[in-house]
Amino acid sequence: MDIKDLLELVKELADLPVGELELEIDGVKLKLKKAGVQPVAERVETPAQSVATPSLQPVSPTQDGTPQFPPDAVVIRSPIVGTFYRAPSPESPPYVDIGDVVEKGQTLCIIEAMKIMNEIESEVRGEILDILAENAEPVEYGQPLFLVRPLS
Amino acid sequence: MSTLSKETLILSILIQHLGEIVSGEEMAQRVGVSRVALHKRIDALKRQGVPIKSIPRKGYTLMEIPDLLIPPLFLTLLKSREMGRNYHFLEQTDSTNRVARELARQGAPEGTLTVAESQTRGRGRQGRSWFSPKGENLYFSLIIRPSISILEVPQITFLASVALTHVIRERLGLEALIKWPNDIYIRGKKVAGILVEMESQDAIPRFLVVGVGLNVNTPPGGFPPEISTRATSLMIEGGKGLLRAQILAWFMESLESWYQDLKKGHKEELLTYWRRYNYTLGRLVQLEDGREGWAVGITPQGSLLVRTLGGTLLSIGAGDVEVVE
Repeated sequence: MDIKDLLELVKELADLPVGELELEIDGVKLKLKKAGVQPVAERVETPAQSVATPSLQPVSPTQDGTPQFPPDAVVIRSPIVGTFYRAPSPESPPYVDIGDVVEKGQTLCIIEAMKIMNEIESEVRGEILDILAENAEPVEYGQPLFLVRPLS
Repeated sequence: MSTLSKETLILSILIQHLGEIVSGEEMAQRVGVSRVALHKRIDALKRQGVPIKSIPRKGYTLMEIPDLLIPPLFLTLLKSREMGRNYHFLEQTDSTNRVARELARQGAPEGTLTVAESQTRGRGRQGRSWFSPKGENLYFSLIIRPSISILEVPQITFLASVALTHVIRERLGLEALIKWPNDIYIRGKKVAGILVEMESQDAIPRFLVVGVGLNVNTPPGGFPPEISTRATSLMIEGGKGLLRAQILAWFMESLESWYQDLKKGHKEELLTYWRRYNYTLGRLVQLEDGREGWAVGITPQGSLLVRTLGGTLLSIGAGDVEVVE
């Protein structure tokens, strides 16, 4: 790979909706490293649409490496890369806590990207079983945020 | 969508003939009301603070345009077709973004504009407060309903910041620049902040609320001490007071025109202007985690590319950066 190829690759990666991209230059050796959880190749192959659309998915606890979620729970995922906030401001109480029963349409958190505050709403009525991201930490595209057990 | 109200018509006639006397008869005819009804409308405008003078046996006159945000005045100055036409004016509210979101949930159309003379809980990122004294500055929130994916929403942030910067530069001749992603600075001090809130479903935004705080007429020494070294106003920079309704009307016009371009798919021009007006590229910035680096570019998605002092290239899509120098 020459420098041109590398720049192309960097450009392509930069265009992907990911939070961080690291390029390390070490003598003649060039290493691309990506902050986040998934290897670059996997991310590139993932069609954006399939990750973007289902913010609410039934859990399939079969895949390797994915945490095993209770089979009756739904996972609320981040629709974008951004910063995860559990409260509207540092002084406010969190929108929800583990054990809370939330209504359909109730705000669960905010994902911020570029000063755009994206309110994530619960798409089911249910009980919050778990909160899977840390307050004020970056989250990836499609990353699980909440486990909700639907209630009728 | 709107037919202008009688009061808006009266005010627009008086503004067309600023400093002149318009006869009651002529005005009544142009507005399409009786002389008595005209008199009532004029009184109503006076009660809202418009200094119309009645000159016995001659007519009415307005010597200068008052710095008010009342609907008849704003709508008189507004030239856009859609943006700002559905105008909600409030003397005081907690936060125009909150009101706008309520309106949007109830189905308010694109272009609905909520404006307040003062905010009791004006806010920025993560609940930080926004200095919102009565009668001095502009605090408003605009509803936009773009047919785009959630990943394209940063375009709207660029749209708002470019349109506002354009107005400040072209109409007022002040050297406004954009700090990534969307704060507006003049000579290194913040003059405006933009906060976009979105409600979305299945990665499609249902609506966006573009909230703007623009410091217009805060006088020198008028900012609270904790922000006085970092904040400025158009009055401080330009040396004179300005008509807020006029600036707001210009912004709606500018934003509408950029938005039309964007809807036709002309994204590049917006980014070109963003780059031209930017204040961040080429500067040393500090990230929220404390790392420092040079801002070297932005991606088409709007992320900021920062080369750290250690040589690592980072793409910053969330959070904020501080310009160090």
